[in-house]
Amino acid sequence: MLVRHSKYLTVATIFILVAVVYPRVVYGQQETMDTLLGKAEYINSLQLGYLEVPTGHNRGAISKIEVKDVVTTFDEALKGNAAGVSVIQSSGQPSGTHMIQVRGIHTMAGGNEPLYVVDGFPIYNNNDLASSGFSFGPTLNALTFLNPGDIESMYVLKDVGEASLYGGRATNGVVIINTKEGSSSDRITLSSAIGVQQPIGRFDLASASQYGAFMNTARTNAGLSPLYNSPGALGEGTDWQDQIYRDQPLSQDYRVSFNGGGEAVHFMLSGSYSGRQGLIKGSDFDRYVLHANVRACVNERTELVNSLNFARVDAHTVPTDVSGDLGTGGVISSALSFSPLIRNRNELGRLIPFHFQVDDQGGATSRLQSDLPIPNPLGLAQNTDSRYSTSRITDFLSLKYRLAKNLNLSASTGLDAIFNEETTFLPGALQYNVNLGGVGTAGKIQSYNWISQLLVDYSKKISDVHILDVFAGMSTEGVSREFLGGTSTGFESEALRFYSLAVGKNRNVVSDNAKWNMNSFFGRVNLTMYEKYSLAFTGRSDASSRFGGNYEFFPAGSFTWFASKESFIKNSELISDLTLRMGYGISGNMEIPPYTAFTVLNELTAPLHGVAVSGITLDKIGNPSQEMERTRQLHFGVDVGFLDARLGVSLDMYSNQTQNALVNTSLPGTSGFQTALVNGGGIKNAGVEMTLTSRNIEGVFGWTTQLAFGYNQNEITDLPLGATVVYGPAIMGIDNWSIFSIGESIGSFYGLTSDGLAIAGDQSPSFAGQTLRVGEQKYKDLNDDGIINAADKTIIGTSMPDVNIGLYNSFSYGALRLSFLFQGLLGRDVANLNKLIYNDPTGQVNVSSSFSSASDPNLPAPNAENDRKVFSDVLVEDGSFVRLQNISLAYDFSNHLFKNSPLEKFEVFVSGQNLLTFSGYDGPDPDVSHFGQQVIGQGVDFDSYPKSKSVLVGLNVHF
Amino acid sequence: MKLKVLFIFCTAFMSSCSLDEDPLSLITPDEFFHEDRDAQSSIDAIYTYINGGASIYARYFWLVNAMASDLGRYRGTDPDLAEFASMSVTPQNSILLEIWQGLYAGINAANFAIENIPSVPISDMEKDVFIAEARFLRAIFYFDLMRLFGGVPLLEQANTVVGSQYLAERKSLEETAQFVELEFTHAFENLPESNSPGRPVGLTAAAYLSRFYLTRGEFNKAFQASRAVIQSGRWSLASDYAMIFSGQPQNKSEELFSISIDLNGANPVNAFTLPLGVDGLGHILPTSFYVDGFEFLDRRRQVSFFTSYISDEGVELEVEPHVGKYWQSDLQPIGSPSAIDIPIFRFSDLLLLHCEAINELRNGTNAEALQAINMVRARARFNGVSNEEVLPDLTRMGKEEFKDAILQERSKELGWEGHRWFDLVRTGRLKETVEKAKPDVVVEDKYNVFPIPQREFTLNPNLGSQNPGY
Repeated sequence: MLVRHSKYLTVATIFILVAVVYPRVVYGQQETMDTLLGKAEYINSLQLGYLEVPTGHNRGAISKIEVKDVVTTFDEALKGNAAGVSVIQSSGQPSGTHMIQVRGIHTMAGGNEPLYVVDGFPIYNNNDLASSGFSFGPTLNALTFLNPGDIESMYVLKDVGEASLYGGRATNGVVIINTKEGSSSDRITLSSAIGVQQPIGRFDLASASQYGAFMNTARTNAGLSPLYNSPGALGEGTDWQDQIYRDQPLSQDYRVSFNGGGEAVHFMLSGSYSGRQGLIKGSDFDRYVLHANVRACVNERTELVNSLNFARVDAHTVPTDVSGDLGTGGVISSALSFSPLIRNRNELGRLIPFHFQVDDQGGATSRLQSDLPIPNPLGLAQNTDSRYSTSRITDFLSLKYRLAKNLNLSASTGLDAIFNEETTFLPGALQYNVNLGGVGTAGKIQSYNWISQLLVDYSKKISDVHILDVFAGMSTEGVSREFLGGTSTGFESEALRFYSLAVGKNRNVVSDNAKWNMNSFFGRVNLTMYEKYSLAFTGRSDASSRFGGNYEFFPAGSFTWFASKESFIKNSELISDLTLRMGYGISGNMEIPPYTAFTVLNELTAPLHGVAVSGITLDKIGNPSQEMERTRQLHFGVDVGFLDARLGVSLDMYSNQTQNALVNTSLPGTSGFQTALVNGGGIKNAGVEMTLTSRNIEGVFGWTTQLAFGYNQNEITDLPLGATVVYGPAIMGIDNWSIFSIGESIGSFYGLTSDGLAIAGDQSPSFAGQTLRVGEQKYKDLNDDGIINAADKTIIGTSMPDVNIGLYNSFSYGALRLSFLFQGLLGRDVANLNKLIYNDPTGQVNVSSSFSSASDPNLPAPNAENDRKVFSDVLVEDGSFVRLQNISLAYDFSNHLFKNSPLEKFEVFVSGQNLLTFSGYDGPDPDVSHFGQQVIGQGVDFDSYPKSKSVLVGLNVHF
Repeated sequence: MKLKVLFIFCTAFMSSCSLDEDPLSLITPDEFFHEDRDAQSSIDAIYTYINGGASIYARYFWLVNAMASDLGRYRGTDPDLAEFASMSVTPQNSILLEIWQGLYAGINAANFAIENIPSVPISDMEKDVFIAEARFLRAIFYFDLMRLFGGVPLLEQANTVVGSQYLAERKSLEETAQFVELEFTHAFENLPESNSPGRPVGLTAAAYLSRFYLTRGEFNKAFQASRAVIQSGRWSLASDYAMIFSGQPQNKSEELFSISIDLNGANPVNAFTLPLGVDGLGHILPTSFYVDGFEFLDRRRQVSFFTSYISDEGVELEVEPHVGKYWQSDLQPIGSPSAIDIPIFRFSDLLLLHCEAINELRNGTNAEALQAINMVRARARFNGVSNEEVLPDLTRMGKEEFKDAILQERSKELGWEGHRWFDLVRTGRLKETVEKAKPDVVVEDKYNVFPIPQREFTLNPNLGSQNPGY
């Protein structure tokens, strides 16, 4: 699997190079560096949610993340910075969501996102809490509420060592986020950045003359007369991609913060604005964030800590999603499909609303096809009006009280309130069915996420060589979500759009309400002996209303040996640090929507003698015995520091076995239902990780390197009887393209295998009732029954990456700093469903220029009648990539230009994002996932909003 | 002291959070069957498994009966449909699976109502009527399961949670039939004498009993039941055959039971049968054997087929005969979906069942039978204005001759209404008729029932054995 991905080898080569170059470096003068991992991590204690883990304590695999780059949301900063953490972007729209996989995927029906703990407040990233789903396009990222500039440190807890303190929510990893705090000395920070963007890639589409010639061939091959006498004379035509993209969309970021306070009170206040013009016309994103951290020593026993964040996001979105919003088409698929022979506007200056086949005189050849109306891409981008706005207030207040020497009590309470509002309007002119007219919608969500917790910690030196740390806590928390939405059609006047849905004749209102809460008890005992051995037991008991309120216990034990403290290493010149870690425990995952255990009734309506009659009956079968998914985790790790920690290497191995994964299972028809969510699946994730940090050269000229490498193998080990194995929502008439199969990875693509093109008189097996046309794509008849059908499908790829990799280098010379970060995902496949459009042999829609020029002998012959859409390995491509995620050049002028000013820092930087991508992928960008965070359907590229390539200039001032 | 404060604090703190789930915006069984109207509501929900364009009755009963018989041929590429047209049906057939699932979902809804209506605060008399209605509908579902698949698992309790209760064993054909008989009989005795339109009365159950007893070969009971319905005078033939398919609710004098289709139109038949130009797929066409069986001026021929239509460019196009029973081209130029109801049980159907019962009992015609069948034929002479010189009254016949005549009359009268395969199986004429209509098709003996979907055997280890031959 690995070997065929050549990019992995490239990166491996880079790594070897680094390793070889290293010993030749002349050791310069040492100076403290406020960088990266390395030594700093071993010296300071880590603030990990409940725990402050001091040096010399037991700990598991933790990746420390620094926000090194201008990013919109902090989860973007996880890209390439943490071994074993894969970040896949679902869409490139400003503030699009990411799918984050910490050590693989551990669930088949639940959520797989890590738990975020922001200043102690546990928050699961459920976008449904922040979006009513009434705006066009994919859901926006709910994590956008925090400005990454306000973050001091981020840690990813990857194994049971520490994560198990979060018990039933630990399986998917825990990301600890600590925001910046005040200090006793005042400091003002100003930062700003402004940049321009362009799409990371475009489709290379046929011009009008190429498309005309293609249509002629497609018709001739189908025995029809050609349409155009001289297609060469048709010229370039309209480039629809040019039409939808903005010329130079701007991005802007401004942040001002003030740190300060006296002896008793420290505070940090910041305000920031981020603005993004979208690449696609009609889309943009604005965010305002206010953040305030206060730490006050009330008296010698009492301390008060408060973290407050307010964020407001306003965005305009565009419909990019063909299968969802409109049922007809999105901006990208329309731009791909629309005929370049159609001019943008007609003689009257009106937009041409729908794609049609143009005849030699420029008119339409036939009635539009009603089953696939393709709306004008520019019309979709510009004339639809879709807005998303969310206000989010998050506050977490802790009171710490010292009861006695070594005994501390901490009580905290937090509230996270989200107010979301979304509206859309689709004008009647873009509605294929003229009778329907415009559609206006509005939806609102209010979500509350609250917590109260009480923690006690106690530390005692039992003897000269034994230190005991005990920590215990309990918490109660919950989420409630209220939704109200309405849709209106039949607008007599479209002037008011969604502002007055009452103008529409047909109105429809929906609402719902969901709540869950949880009580938990947790604790940890840590025994440190001789400063060399550290033994910890952690346990958490969670009772969630989502699982019947039963307490589930998640224990874990871990052991750390600080071998470098042993006398035989202690004085080694070479090895400055050697730590061995191991742990075993059970973690849980409870991320399913509430109420899935319930038997649910629903209203059904059908006509009876011409009158609509509604009744209520069983709609969903209940499963009261649903339980949290449990994962057994075993891990080993070693940290080695060489040469006084100038080179640090961490190696980790893990094997995680999920035992009772929830699976949608088929029920026999006699039950009256088709499926139910039951426990019984098994999933194994096993892998190795390596993090290498090195201060290669120190001194006036400095060079540091950080390499993060993670390899994960995912395997389904068990499926309950009747598990529904074939999934895949319909896109362009293709469905059931994903499969769960024992021994295979989650996210396996399932389809036909191609078998060359048909030649004249070809008698190879084909679909029932079909004879092969010359040049038509053939498929393998795997079961040898002479007919191609669903029984010939097999696994043709997997979307889960084997390897995630990140390579960061930073060079400094005096006040000048150059840094770059490469990141990549290797060993993954992407289903490029855009090919269904740009390699469509019928000529009904525009095609790629390579298809039109017949330069690829593997592509089928154009044929106006060959309209069969098939999910096969033709669509599944190697989606491995390595990308220059960021390169940045900065110069700090404070020492030169403003010698006698109070300026601590006056840094000017220029940076580039996504400037280079190395990939063999045929589409514009392999880093996509059409279905966002859904476990099923990851790695599908269809109609995706492209990511941007951007260049920024900025300024950071500290004084 | 400090510990005491701590303890109090903890207790207060933890008791604040209840872990009971209360899904406020979902209806759960606990919240239902408390009010009077809930009884009615639980009954009305059962109808959604019959009525509406998405029900399996609307989607598949006409289709299976037309494809697996002499009526229709298929020229599309859907393998499930092709299996019926070519009589090579497999246990993997997804249409049979949907029918199986749909009928059991209806049964579950009926069981849910039957089980819970006793706890609704209404009078016992009202309860009895509601329960009779639910049992009538459940009897239809089981009767159709029995006719399609033979003996089936009999579930009389609602399934509300996952478990093993629905992993039930197949009952024998006799046991299944006994149950269906019991249920229809109960409905006959307990349904009211009159009911609102579209709902069954006692005599509707009697009509079903007639159909049931004929299927079971209990001809005297069938005769008694159909006679009771005819003699009640409650139903009569519409004066014009075309009126039945006019989509007008007032023309329902002969409707005993129907698949109601909403006025916006959701009847899915035309999507298969109309030509491409009027939004059909043109995949399902009548066999020439079937078309040629009609006398030219038979009103039913004009209603059942069309051979030309006006395209959306306004041009009249000639086509081979297409099924037009559910298409009123003048009112609805684009034909799909149609708003016309699909009958399940019409009075003419019952008249012909009555003839069938008499023929079996008397080994030939009698005056009562001739009267019944000639009523049906006479009506088909009316062309909307006057009577045509076709379809002469039948006269005295022997058993086999009359049996053929009845079957032929049924095929013309009831085509595309979901009866033909059932009729041919019941009368033992499936093989010869289908092989005559479709010379390239061989009908094996096993086709008196269809295979139980393979998925059921996979998911239910207790189910038992597959029908022989599959």
